[in-house]
Amino acid sequence: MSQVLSVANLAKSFGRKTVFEDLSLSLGKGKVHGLLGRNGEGKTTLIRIIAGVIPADRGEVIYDSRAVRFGDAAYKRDIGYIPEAPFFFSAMKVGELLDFNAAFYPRWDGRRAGELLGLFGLDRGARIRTLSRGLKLKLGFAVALAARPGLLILDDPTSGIDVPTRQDFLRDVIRELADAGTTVLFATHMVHELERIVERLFILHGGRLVLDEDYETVRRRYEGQSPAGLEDIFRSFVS
Amino acid sequence: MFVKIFRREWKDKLDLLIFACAGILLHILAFLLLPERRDLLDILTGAMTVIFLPFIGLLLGAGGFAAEFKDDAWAYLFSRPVKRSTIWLAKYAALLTILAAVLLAFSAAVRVVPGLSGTVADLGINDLGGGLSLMSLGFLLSWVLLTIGFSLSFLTERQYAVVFLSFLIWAALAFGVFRFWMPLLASHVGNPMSPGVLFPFTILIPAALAVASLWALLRTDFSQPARKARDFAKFAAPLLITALILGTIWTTARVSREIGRRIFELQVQGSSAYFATPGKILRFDAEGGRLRTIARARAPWGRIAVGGDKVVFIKYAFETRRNVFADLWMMNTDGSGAASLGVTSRKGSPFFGLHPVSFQISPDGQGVVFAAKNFRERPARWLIGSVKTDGTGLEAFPLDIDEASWAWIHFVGWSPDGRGPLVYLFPDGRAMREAAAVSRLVRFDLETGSSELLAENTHFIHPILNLSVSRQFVALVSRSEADQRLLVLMDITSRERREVVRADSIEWYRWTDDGNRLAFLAGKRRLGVYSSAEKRVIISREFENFDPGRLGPALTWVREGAGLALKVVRNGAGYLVELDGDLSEQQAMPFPFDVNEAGYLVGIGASVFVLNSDKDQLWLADLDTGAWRKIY
Repeated sequence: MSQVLSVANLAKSFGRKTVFEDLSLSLGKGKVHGLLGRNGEGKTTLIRIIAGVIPADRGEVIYDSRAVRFGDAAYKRDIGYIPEAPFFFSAMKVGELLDFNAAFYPRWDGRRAGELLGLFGLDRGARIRTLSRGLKLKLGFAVALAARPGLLILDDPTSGIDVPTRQDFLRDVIRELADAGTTVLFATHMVHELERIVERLFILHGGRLVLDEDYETVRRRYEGQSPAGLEDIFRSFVS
Repeated sequence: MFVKIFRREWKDKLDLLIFACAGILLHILAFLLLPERRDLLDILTGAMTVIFLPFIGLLLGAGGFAAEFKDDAWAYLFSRPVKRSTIWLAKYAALLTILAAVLLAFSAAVRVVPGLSGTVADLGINDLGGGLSLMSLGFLLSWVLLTIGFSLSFLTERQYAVVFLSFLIWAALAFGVFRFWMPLLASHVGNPMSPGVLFPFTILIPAALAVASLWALLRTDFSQPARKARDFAKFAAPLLITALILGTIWTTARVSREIGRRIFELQVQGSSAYFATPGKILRFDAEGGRLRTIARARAPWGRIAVGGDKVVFIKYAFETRRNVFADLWMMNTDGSGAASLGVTSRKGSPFFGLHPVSFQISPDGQGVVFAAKNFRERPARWLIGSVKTDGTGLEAFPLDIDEASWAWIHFVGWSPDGRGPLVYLFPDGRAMREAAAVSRLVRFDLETGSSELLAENTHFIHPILNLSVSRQFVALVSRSEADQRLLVLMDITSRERREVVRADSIEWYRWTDDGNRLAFLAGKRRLGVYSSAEKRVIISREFENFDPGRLGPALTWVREGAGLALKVVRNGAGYLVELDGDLSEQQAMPFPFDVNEAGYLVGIGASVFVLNSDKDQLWLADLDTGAWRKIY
């Protein structure tokens, strides 16, 4: 399996609090990766470092065999990022946000963006601040997908969204992306969301990765034990 | 990408632009609806220019990253494939153009609204100094506060804190510079400084903060306020130190260049020329061709008066590097015997609190008369004082004039009966326009302290009002009913007036040393000579295409009144043209410098002193040999 992204020896602290130190992981091309961890374990920090939003204190990010400098704009052209809270410029209209983003991405697919708006039931003229949390999430997906990213990073975007929407939407969209060759890194603390889509699993706990393994392997290892769902596996690592 | 962010910033700050325009509109309405409330309009215009516009700049700058702080949108923006430097530049450019739009709207209002431009001009340049007008100060402050505010705006989402901190930084810088740096510079250079000299700091310090913010934004973790502040401080500290060093070098060089060699006043007596520079009084003897320093006197606007064998001058004294006092000094024309006539800084001195600006030596050489502002009174009032040359016998008489209206007082001669000076009172521009105030020529009686009005509505033409040597006549320019200019001679005793010439303009006039003939340039082409004995113009000549150059005409008598010299531009080249008594051209000496820089001419025998007003140089033209010599 070829690697699309790897991070090596990452360290990050906020003031005196060390979030993680010497953290390393790799993402395989076209795979769905799950990043699990309890609240405050550093999932968002790791995601933001990978997405180039904040700098690491130490360590490096390598994408497509190339070291990525902090602030490297070219690298971000290949990255789709859907943050934890759907924080867009709330005064903008849906169409304005699409136009705003279209200028940044050379592979921007305007037709696809239009199709996605229709599919998600989004109106181009609607103000972002008037959208529900679920619609904002869908808008985030529309923007990320229209940019045709090589790597899609989701930072626990589904919290606060009703369960049927969350599950159907995620299953359909993320599966479709992965099938099209897009690498996905999905961070969440809602373990059961990942169960049907994840291929490789990372568990972040106490400032280090306590699990970095294919989900199928892990699942098989726990097969026969009762109960042996992903949630139980997660608990066994973080309790 | 730049354009997208630029446009988004414009949209985001549109409400502030509308608010600023509404403020300007209210200002315009006040001018249109309350034209008679001058005091109110003055306050309003001052507040608008130096408070409202800078405050708009501060609000714009402080809100630079406000949209990014809402809902943590910074994380979304910084995850887009755009360089942080592009984001910073696009935002700053957008804010600057919004501010430019506001300032343009204000400038347009100043041009269009009746009375507003005059009010802005009146509130401007004199008090601020350094060539800084009220408008440019307001615009500069707006940029300064916008830049400081923007530089800090990425540090915290609390805009009120950014506004407060920006204002605090600005106030601290202003206080530090005014309280410590300016007095230090003034003491070092030997001149009190005007705020205009601080221009380099005004540019460099905000620029340093801006560069520090850009640098910090490129490297810092936006999610950590403390780390952002630390990174910003880390970059800002060396940049601010650099800005202070560069500002000091720039300002010192600028001040030295601008005032270091300036020639303030040129007076000729006999065959010697005396002139004042910011640090020295110099004397040049045309006969020996020798220039020498006869006194060292620190003064930003050096003035001298030469009479008999004495020279009176002003010397500035610094106390605690802040307070500046102007003392009157006197010395012999060879520079010996220099002594202060009175110390204005010492409480026990009769001169305490006076600030002399103009002075003259009495015809008998025994006394000095001076005009001063008396700062012992609040508000300070003008007075005329006299003192003997040994510093005793000080007498002071308050001038019974409206203090606010008078910009300058100048001595133009001495009364024929010897009782006191002739004083020219010149109103400031606003008083002239609004109160129809006019200039006055007054005879002041030092024995009674009374003054007598000789003429009013005379026009200020250098060399002001030119008395004849007999002290019988004064030549002055007034305005006719048909709005023509009249050059008239007035008998100081009888006040009888004689018309010399009537023209659309009177450019220049000079008496011969014997006081019998007056040469004049009128209507921009007519050169004439009037004889006070014959009571008529005895000769005149019309010039075709007379071009006196950018600084206007200049004319002087030469060869003991046997001829004239004047400045003429022909085909772009400047010449000092000598004319004989029939006004026939004898020779044309090409200027050794750009004729547009040539100002004042003073003839001594067969030589002419020529002042290069732009470069503050003094040249001597030898009419016999055609040679030029640079004296200073």
